[in-house]
Amino acid sequence: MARHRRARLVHLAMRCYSPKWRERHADEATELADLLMRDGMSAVFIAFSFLKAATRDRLVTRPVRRLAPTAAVLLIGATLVGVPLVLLDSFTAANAASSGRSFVVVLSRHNAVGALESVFKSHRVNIKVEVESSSSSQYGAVLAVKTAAGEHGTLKVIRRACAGSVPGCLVALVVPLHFAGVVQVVVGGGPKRCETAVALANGQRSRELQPPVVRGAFDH
Amino acid sequence: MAAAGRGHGDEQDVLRRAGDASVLILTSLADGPKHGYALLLDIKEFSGLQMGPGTLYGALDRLEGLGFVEALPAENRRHPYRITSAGAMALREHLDSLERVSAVGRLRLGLGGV
Repeated sequence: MARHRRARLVHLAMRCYSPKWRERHADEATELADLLMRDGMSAVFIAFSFLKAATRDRLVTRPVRRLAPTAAVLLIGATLVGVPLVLLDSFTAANAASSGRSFVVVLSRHNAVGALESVFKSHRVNIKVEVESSSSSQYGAVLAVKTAAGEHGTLKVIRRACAGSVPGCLVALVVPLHFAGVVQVVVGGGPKRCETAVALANGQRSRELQPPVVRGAFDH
Repeated sequence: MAAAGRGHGDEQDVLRRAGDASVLILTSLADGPKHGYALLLDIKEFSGLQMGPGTLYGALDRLEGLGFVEALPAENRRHPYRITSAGAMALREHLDSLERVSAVGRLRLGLGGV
């Protein structure tokens, strides 16, 4: 993996941390990661270590911990350029940092669909994927969670601002362990075609214009 | 064994709940302040474990919250950390606890006491 790609991978992982953490540790952690990679440590190992710790940092310090003491938590950090995705089993405030958990991380917008399929399959959930486009400000964010009639009360969602302080993105989805309904998750992708045209006219980089929306339907 | 006379009084062993990373970090800091990179190298040397940087900072934050370590003024971009007296006491309690478990285990394996 080229050096700049390794550095970018680690940088992306660090963006999962809270702003407070980044303000305090990011400079030092970046230097530390550089030294470790120079010593031969895998960038993937470093990035994964940061992602695990960032998830813990956010879950322990934020109100998420008050939700559904025995639930599976699907946490989708909407702050990354990519789509980081973390699935926690048997989540409680007390054991947020304990063992019973599994992580799936999507660092690239281009494999978001595959990673979603992978995590849902690993938890015996069927997922069907469609591809659409969306506003650029909502790229990488979870925009909506849809359930069949009468099932919505079984889920809890936590909202936060999308990129650019645009409201409406979801930061977390809490699914009860024994949820039996059907859920559809919509993840934001690239800009709409009209925005693409405007952006191209304004000279924006092409990499900001591409990604799809992932529409995943899953059921237990 | 230092605390052999005590019962199961592990309420004082705060580190039992803080995790292995915290114990490794406190052990490393027991002989003097270190910054993150030096901590990881030292831990790998004395324990053989390669701790991830995320685990390191997570544990340092927890230990700092518990008052067991404190950050010293930054040197360039690096913050050295120092073990506090409370941290040293907690580490001692935890090592005593481990020593008791170790002694029982060795005894039951027929390896004799420590």
